[in-house]
Amino acid sequence: MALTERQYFALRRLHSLSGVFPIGVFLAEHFFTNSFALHGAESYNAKVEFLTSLPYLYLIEGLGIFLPILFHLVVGVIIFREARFNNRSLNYRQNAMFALQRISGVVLIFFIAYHLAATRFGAYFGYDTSDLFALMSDKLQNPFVVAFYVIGVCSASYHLGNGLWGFAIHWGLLTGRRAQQRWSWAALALAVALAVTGLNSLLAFRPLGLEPILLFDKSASHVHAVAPAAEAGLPEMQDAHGHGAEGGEHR
Amino acid sequence: MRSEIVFRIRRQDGPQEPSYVQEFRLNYRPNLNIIACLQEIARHPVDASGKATSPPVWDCSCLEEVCGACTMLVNGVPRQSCSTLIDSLPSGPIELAPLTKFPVVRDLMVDRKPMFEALKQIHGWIPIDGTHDLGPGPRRPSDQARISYVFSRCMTCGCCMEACPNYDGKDPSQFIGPAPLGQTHYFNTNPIGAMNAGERLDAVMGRNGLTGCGNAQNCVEVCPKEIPLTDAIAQLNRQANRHWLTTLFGR
Repeated sequence: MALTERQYFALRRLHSLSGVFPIGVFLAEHFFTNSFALHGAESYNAKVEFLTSLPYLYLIEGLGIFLPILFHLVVGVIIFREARFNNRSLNYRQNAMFALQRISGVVLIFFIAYHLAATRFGAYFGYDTSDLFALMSDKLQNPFVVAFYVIGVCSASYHLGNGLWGFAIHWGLLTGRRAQQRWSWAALALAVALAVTGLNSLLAFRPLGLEPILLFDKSASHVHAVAPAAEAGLPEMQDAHGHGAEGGEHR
Repeated sequence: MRSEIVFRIRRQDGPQEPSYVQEFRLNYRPNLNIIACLQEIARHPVDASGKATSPPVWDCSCLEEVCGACTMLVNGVPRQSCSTLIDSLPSGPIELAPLTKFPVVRDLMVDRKPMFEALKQIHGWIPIDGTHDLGPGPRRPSDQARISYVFSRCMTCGCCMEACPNYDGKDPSQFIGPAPLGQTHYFNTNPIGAMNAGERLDAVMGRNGLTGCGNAQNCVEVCPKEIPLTDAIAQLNRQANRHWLTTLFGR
């Protein structure tokens, strides 16, 4: 590619920026919206409907989400290829986080591709996306899908958290070592908070027929969710009140 | 407590020759450094199996961690063989190898010319000579001079370059490495050097410049002179971004 030195500098800085805005902001919004699943299928599907009914939807999605992610991905692959990992001989915390940042990025390429194909563009792959809660819940009865989602949520959370740390350095916001180390812990705490939020909403979809373990949300236990396991022909499971799921009684 | 010292030395007969590992055994004595052991091996170049061989080649000069010439990998970590005491290493065989990011001349001796080339790229000097007397330079506050002094201790040993996962060495279009960036900061913070700060900033805003840093921060971990290289990089990031953003639409 015939980029000038200055354009190359801009690309690398925009890569750092795009990870925070809009992608990081979107991820936080995404995890928050997913948390409506804690209130059950209707509440969740209503939010999905609200989002898909937004004016200028394709513009927002295209320019605000897909294009930035694609750009971040392409430059990210270039950055990944520059790294010669040496964690075995140089076993330092920041070096491990350097490697994890790159590995989580590669994991996310595959995860986001799968995630988009199974949800946003599910209709093109023969899925019924009219009831996204049921679709998600149905998919999450497969232990491999659950594992992939757990890895994906954790990767995204870490990549954003540690990415915010890198952002502070690339943009010259934190220049001292001690300040950088403090921010590193704060960024990791943020990653953990994101991961907990993401995993908690995953649990709300009752993966593997599990009872929802609702963290921070007592009200949700009073809301009856659709029990998709029954539809999927899996053994009956119990909802939060101990009733057996009886083929859509609560719908 | 070791009764003998076992060395596994990675050797190479010439720049293009294949490398091989040879083992040497020495009787233990307290307070030895690696150079003293290499000197003893050179006096009796007989490997562990009793076979006579050529004395291993290494580079050294000052013997007091000031010149950087004797830098090599000791158990996989780049450090000076003069200041590495045998008693400070875990018992068991000691692995010596040449730095991997620089071309090997022979055995443990490498050519660190890429670092010299990098110093030329960043204008690592202060032009003071003129056709007439320019008068005395500006005075500087002692706290600034104290910070600057730390950067002046850089001996171009190559530890940070070796440890940096983004520094390639063989490809000059890749990341320039931590040491030259530390020197850029050093010369730019000198009151006379600051007169050419723009040139140096331009020199590190290119493709192989600042953007190549991936924040693994191994450089500060391994620097024997405890130079805050990551502080320098973040400071340069701050200046480079300001320069980029303020001239985004031209001057």
